[in-house]
Amino acid sequence: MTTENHFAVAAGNDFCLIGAEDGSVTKYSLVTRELEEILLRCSMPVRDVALSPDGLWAAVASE
Amino acid sequence: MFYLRDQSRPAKHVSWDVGGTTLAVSCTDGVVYMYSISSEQPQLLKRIDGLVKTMESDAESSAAVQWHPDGRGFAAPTATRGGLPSIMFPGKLC
Repeated sequence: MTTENHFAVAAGNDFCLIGAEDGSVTKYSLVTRELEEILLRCSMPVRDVALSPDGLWAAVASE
Repeated sequence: MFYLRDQSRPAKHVSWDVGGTTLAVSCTDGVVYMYSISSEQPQLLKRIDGLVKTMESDAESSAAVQWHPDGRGFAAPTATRGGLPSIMFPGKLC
C-alpha cells in the first residue's frame, strides 16, 4: 500500500476503498491484497468514503 | 460519476441510509445536506442546520451522521452548551 496518510476506508465483500490525503480513492482487492484501480483523484484530501448498501455507489467527501 | 455541489465549504463525512437511496453529507459549515441518490441526477432534499458544529476539515471531532436501521431518521453528535455531547434524532426526512 502507499505511504500516504489514509483518512477513510470503506469495505465491500471482496474489496475495500481507501481515501488518502493526496486526494486519491483507490480500490484494493481483499482477495489478492493488490491495488485494483485508482477510482478517483481529487485535488484535495479525501476525508470520508462510504459504500452504498447495495454496493453500487461510493460517496466521497473531499475538500 | 455525480458531483454534489450545493456545499460551499468542504464536506467532512458521508453516510448512506440503509436503503441506499439517501446520502447525508456532514459539511464543515455545520450543515447536514440530505441528497436523494438514484440513477438520475442527485437531488438536494434538505439542509439541516444546528445539528452538527462548524469545524475544520482536519478536526478530530466527528460530525458523522448514523442512520437508524429502519430508515426513520438519523442521529448526530451535537455539542450542548455545557460541553456534553447529546444526540438529536429528527423524524422521518423523506
